[in-house]
Amino acid sequence: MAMAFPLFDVRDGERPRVARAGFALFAILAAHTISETARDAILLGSSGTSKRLATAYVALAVVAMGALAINTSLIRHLGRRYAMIATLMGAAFGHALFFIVHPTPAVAFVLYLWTGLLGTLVVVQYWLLAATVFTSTEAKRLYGLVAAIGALGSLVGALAAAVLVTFLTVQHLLPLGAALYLVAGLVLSTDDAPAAATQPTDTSDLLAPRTPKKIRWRDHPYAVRIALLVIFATAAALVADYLLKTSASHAARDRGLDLGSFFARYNGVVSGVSLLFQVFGASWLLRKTGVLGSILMLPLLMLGGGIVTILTTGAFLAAVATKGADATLRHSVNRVANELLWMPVAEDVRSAVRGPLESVVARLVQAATALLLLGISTLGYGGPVVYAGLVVGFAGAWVIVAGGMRPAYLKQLRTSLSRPTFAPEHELDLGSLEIVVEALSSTDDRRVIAAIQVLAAHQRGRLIPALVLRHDSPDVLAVALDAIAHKGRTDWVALTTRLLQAPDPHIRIAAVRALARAGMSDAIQTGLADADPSVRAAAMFWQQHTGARAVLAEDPTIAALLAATGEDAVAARRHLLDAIRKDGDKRWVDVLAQLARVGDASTIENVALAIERVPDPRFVPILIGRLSTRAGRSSVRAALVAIGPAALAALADALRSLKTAPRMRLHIPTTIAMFGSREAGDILLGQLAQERSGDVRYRLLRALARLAVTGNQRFEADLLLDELRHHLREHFRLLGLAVPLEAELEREGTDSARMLLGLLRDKASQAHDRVFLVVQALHPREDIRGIERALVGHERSARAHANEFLDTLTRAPVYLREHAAGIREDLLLVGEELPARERVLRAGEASDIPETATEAMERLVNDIDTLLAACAAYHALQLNRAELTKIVNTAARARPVLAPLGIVHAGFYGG
Amino acid sequence: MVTESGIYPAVGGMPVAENGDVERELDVRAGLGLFASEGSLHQLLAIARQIELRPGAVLYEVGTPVRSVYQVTRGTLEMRLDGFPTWTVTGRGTLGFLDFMRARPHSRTAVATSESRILALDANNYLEFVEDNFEVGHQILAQLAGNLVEGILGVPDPALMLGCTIDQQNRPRSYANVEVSLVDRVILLQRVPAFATGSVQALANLAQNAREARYEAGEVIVTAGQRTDEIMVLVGGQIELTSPTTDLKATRSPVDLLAGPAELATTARTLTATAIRDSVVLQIDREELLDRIEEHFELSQSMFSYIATQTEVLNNAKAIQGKTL
Repeated sequence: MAMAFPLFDVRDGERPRVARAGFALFAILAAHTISETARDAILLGSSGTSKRLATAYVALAVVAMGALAINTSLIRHLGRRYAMIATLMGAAFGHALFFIVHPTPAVAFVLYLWTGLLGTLVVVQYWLLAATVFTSTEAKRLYGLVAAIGALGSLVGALAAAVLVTFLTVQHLLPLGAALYLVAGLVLSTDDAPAAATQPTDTSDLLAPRTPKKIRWRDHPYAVRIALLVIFATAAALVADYLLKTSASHAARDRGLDLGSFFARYNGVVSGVSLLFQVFGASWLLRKTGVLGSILMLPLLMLGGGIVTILTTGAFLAAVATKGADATLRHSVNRVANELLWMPVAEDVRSAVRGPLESVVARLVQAATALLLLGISTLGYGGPVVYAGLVVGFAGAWVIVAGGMRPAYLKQLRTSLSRPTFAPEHELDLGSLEIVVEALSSTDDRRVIAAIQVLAAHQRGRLIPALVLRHDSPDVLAVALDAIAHKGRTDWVALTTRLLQAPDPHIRIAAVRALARAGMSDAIQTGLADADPSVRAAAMFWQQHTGARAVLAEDPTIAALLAATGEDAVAARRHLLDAIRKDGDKRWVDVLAQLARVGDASTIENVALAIERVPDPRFVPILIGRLSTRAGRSSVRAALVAIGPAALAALADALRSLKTAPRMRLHIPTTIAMFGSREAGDILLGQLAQERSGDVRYRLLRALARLAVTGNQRFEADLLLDELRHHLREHFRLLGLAVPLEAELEREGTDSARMLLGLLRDKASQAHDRVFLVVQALHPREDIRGIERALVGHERSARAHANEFLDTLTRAPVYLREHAAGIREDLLLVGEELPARERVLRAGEASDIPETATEAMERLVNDIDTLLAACAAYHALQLNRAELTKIVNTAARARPVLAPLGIVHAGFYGG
Repeated sequence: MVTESGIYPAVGGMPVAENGDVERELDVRAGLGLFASEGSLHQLLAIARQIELRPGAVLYEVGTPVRSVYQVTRGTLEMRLDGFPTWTVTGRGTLGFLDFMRARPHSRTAVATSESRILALDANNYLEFVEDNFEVGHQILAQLAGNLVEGILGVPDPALMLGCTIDQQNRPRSYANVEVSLVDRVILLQRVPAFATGSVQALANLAQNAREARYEAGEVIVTAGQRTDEIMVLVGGQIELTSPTTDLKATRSPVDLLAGPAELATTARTLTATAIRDSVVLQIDREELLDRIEEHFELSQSMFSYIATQTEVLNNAKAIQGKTL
């Protein structure tokens, strides 16, 4: 870790990118400031300033449209970087031309357009290019520095202009501007690496669409919000500019103010303040208030400035301060915050939207605002108070939009991290139906089954021809019977009756079921006469089910089946259970209870599945006992939920009891979570506070996270914050312990070294997982699992967006509680791309990092986690070093449990 | 020439005609939906793209990173690597999975040799799908293991693939007279190729709950046709695998799965394992293994990687015989 600048967090490998970006912006903004000084002095020095300004704004909007088209074409043909370089070269050439030609009023006007156009295009192009070079997390740390270097460029440009105009004419500033644009182009041309976000990865890129997507504003409401910000910001800035310039022009006329030196000094002051703020305040502000807080600062100041100007009936200083706030912050903190707002927007959308927005739309807004100002001025209503009133109006609207950005910003970040989803269509068009129906004739059984499923899923089951029941495949027949055999159509009946003689007993059972469901009692009789006991059992179910008997367990045929022995009887009972599962009702509860009593291991699974259909409190012990078995567990859980409070109470007891088999206890928390109730949450939280088993604690946290999401439950935040703090602490503790050992253990490469290092990493990772489970429980509506995945994934931009999401999310009020002190900062550190040592140090846990590897081993051997201690002791003895052996001997005497875990074998003899 | 259809805008494609979507749905259901519920099928449909390839089209080249995994739904592709037999892949055959499971760039170049249609799944999304639907993942793993064993038994000399000898450098210590301690168990499990990249914590949990079984020379450990609920790891001694239907004899030594990939399959055993020296076996309940996979997905990835390594050897053997995959 290298801190290149004390005020900015520049990390290893980032310096060349930052330097290149910073120097380019330095030269661009220095050139722009110098050019602005020249053009303002030239244009405002001539008569008819108000009218000229308004005309200039309108003309700029028109010119910007043409320039944007050229710019888009340049980007398409040259790529973003070279388009930028070409624009800078063009800027230098243009400035040189303006220096050569005589400065007539017309030339002054064109110069105004030229510099205004460059000010828009070059800056927008620059930041779009930067967004492909830096991720949002890097941008948050580094844009402040880049913008500070840019602000320094503005200051240097302004100072240079102020000095030069004392002994040269303002026209002489133009070649200097040209030279600086040239330098910026040269700096950017030194980077031959492709922009990170657009680097091709493999031939699967061939699969990307070849024609760019058409971007529609209505599909991107977040971009619309940013557009509103830009519109109000542009209008407010223009009115503030107008306020200043008309005030200055009047001052020049009334009080003999020297415009050249005033603007040079003014630009110098605002550039200096901007630089100071950028260096000392912007990063702090971003850190403290986040992106959303930072975008509020400028509109609030302009709003305040406008109000003061009104209250002071248009004091010149108030007008200067209002515009000064804009000039100071627009290119520093406001620019950085706005750039960060764009970061979660997809590259294609950003590229398509930003150019027109910041050049054409912004210019049109300027033109409209200028026309408004011109109208006010022409009608004789102009004056500082009126203009200040407009500033208040535009800045106020800006504040409202900026203040309401949080939900949209979070949603955009969520979108940038979300996985693709499939929205099943319920309507198939004719072409699709033809394809699916054709697939029914496929020789590939799986394709036929898929076609049946597609039609059923799209509620077009009636289109499945009954003739499919003549298919050879039992698998196809089973799926087809389920999809076709419904009341409302009869074409399947004859074909299904034929299936009562099918060679496969499973098909005969399915046929009995389908026909019996449709009320065909003949099928039941045929089934009862079948040679296969399973078919007879299925038919027996329907015989009883369609009969009038209220207590089915008393039926002699059922009793005989329950009493029968042998493999056939077991298979028959399984099919009876299957029938109860699919079509049973409450009358079957007693039969089910008896089946549960007589069933073997394989039958029990079917019992569990059947109970889901006919839940009864009597089954609770059986179901809880089944939780440790994977097969049918989801049905067991569903059955317990269907039984209700009695099951929940029994589960709570089983969870609390240490007599419950450990594997069964592991699966109780998730089962409780499936109840989705407040009581379920209370049970889980209560157990979390006292649970000693690490495995069960983990399952409790998972269950709480699940309950939060599926049941939209909110839990006692303080309890969760305590839990969060505990796991954060544990995460940093384990990271710290590994710091002095990692290199040594990797170098040793022995089995025991690999084991110890792996275990340390796993434990730290487990704590990490638990941190995010708690965060999920705190934020039920967010996909925290997706955030965690993005944070540990390989995609830079996704990691950055996940970090930014966490940053914004943890500005929620719950983290402002006294109970939550420090949690937000530690949570953000978990996702930071920093070496472990740096992360632990920044978490303020320096004492977690042992000074030497021996000290680390000593701490590990004495760790509260027995497995970690045993593995560390084993490795220590493998190293065969006297000081480590002594440490292990001492620890083992204090904790005899360590010896049987492995250190006897590693060389410990109990001495 | 590569064309694409049936993708939703979130993944980066263009909206396509309904026909393309339904074709894709049919392909996904028929090709990938074997173990998937309707809900998980929708997840697959969200990440699956359908690609048409003309003869000669290169799907991917050797050395490029694995971004997608593929399943052939129609046509034939070849996977080529200089100096090695070419693999021919036809209907429902997969491409890119082995490299993806082994976390390496494409090891072969995939070229269509006929008009072909394939399903492409974004590799990372697919991994997340398997992690989210670990029951499906487990069933895929068990089926792959079963297919692998069946494939191995179909090559001319299966003993070559099934047999393994002691790595003298990593020879485990003798457990003839001592119980295998917990830490020793963890270290031994780390050496099992199928668990090699599993998390140590997961292996420790397995080790903690494993049963230690000892067999004298000549004792039958497991019989062909038997179904077992345990995965067995040979940590000491030596065993022989024999087939009741062929003259197959393969000797296996520690530390490895007792019967190789067959341990990961859920079908009845096809080979009999007999101790030929006094042997020590760790028996891990399949339920326990599944519980651990649920918590530690890397363990599942480790087993997939092992299956991929074995499948690669089998594919080469099949290619030499001129068989398609």
